[in-house]
Amino acid sequence: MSDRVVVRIPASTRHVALVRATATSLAALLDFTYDRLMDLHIAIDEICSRILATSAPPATRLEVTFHVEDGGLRIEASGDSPLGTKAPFLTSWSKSILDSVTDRIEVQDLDGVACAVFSVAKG
Amino acid sequence: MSGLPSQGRHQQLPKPEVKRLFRELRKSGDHDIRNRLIESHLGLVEYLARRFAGRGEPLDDLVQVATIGLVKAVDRFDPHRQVEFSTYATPTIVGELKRHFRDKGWAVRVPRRLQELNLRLGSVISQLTQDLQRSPTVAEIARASEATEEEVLEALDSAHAYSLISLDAGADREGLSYHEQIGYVDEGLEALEDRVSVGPLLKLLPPRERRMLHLRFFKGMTQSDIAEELGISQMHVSRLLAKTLASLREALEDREREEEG
Repeated sequence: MSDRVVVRIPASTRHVALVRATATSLAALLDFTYDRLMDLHIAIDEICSRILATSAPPATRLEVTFHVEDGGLRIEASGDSPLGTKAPFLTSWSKSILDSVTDRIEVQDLDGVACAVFSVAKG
Repeated sequence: MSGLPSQGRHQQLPKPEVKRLFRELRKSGDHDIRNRLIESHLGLVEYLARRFAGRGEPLDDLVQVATIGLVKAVDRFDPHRQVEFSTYATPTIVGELKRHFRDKGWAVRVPRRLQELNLRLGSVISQLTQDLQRSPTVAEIARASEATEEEVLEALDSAHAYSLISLDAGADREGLSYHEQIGYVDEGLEALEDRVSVGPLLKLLPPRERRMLHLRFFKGMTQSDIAEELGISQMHVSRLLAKTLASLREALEDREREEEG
């Protein structure tokens, strides 16, 4: 199985379903358990919606890259616009959700555009 | 199916007693009387919900929707009208069920084959989790449900495409006693820095949903553990979690926009 899949979608919550579907299909190939699959969905929903909610000016595209790593998935997600300064990218609420459903999460700065990197193991 | 109200458990009250309780409720607004009236009609709720079963929605979801109809009927019924409460409540409950199907558009969008598979998956996943003592993989679910992995994935996705009951619907009757629902302390939830914004929203959640968030995100329990603890299916847990998070997120983002605005 190829180790890298990129999904680029218009910045709208409607299209996040496509990212979820891609994640589902990769996770099934990797033999994720049902629980972890659902965790993966929660993580994707949370990250994508935070990017959409906090980009200023609003992002027009969202790019999510899946890497197959150690039998799990490492996922990078970013918009095409810097994050605004008013609201924090990850609130402590988001953080506690993400800490529970991912094995690792960090936010990187790519020339002013934030990229959330997180991993979900398969079982 | 566990946790559903059974006719036996919710003793039906004689009609004159129902009338009397309604009159008293209108006078005093007593919460216990309201609960008693609701509980004594859960048999009707289940009866009506069953009539809508087999259309691709899990029965326990339907019972929940029908209960919302019942609660509305209890709150609106005028005991001075010359009509029995059950006669009055039936169209309200049926209306709620029909609206549920219409809002979901489920019967239209999702092929019957997937609806049926989706219905089976809930119990297949629960059974496998028990047998394997862990959450099953998609391949295992496919084998056990005699479907292809692709079909299982489609059916799982379709499970998330529908099933939205409003957050304040509240009616919680799955395996939790009232005492259990209110008896836990949500320290984790309370300790969040942004509890100022999340806190009030969490308080609006039905006790089961709040407990679920607490168990998943602050106690670190898996969805399977939670399903077992609450006596509902894993699919139901993941649907409720996704739904609850989505509503909270929407409400929080509205608030952020207002603050920036």
